[in-house]
Amino acid sequence: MDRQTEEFNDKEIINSVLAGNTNAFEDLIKKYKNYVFSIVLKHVPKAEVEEISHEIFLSTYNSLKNFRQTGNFKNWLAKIAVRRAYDYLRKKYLRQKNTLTLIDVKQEQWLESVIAQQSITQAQEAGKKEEAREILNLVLAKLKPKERMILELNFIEELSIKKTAKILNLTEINVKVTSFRARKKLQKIIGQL
Amino acid sequence: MKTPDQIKKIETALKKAGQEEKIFTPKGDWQQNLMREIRKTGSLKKLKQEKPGLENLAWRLGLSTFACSFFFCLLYLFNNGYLLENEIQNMLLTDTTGTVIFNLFGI
Repeated sequence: MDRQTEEFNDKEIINSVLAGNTNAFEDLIKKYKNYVFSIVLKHVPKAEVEEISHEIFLSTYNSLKNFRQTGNFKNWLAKIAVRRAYDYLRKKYLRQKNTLTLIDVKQEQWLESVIAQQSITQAQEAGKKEEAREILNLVLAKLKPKERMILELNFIEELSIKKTAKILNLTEINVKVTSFRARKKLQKIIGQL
Repeated sequence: MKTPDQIKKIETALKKAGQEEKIFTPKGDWQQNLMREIRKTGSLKKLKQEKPGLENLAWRLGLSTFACSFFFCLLYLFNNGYLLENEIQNMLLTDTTGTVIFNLFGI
């Protein structure tokens, strides 16, 4: 299915939901749940993915009347998903205590193996292991929610500064500065591992 | 402390870890629960016809009017000494309203 047909289908479903056919929304859930899960999973722990995705679809439903029919539904949904994940990180950051989290033996072994790699490409391959994801979460948890979100979108997902700024409702300059500072902070944290 | 080259290698590996596509499967009736809640919210056609915004505004206005009247009522009672013991009353009455409030809050 090409993009235009897909957009047209989405709009048909949305109009049906707006006309009172609540059940039609299930088609949108079916179609986009994996997409939303994959976005949420990049920013929050696995255990929270279901709950946050649930909230995302609920707030999408409640704001559906504000959706501009000229726009793309998939992009609009992605924006809601990222903002919800950002809200989650902010709440979590306020609750968290500043405890020093230590890495376990397995993670330490992973770090040593990465350092021992001959090339950057080999190091990149090591990123496919579970330990890498654990260490990444550990390191990202030490950043402020705003820094973390910008770093995840701009550095990890490789979105442009413009797109990151648009999703997070920030200015491009703000994103550039925060991204630079967050990278420096990240490198400092890695150096101390 | 690690060298810049070691940091770069770890950073690259971590970046890859963040980009790794993960498959997530929700537990059993996740979709059904979500749809149940959405149906509970009601049809969007109905929600569109109602004007919850206006209702909210009325609530907010009412609540803030009540809070303001309550505050001024308390202020009046304090100023006229209905709420305090004689000694404190005398001390407070010699002051202006502004100072009384500041004293009360220890500013």
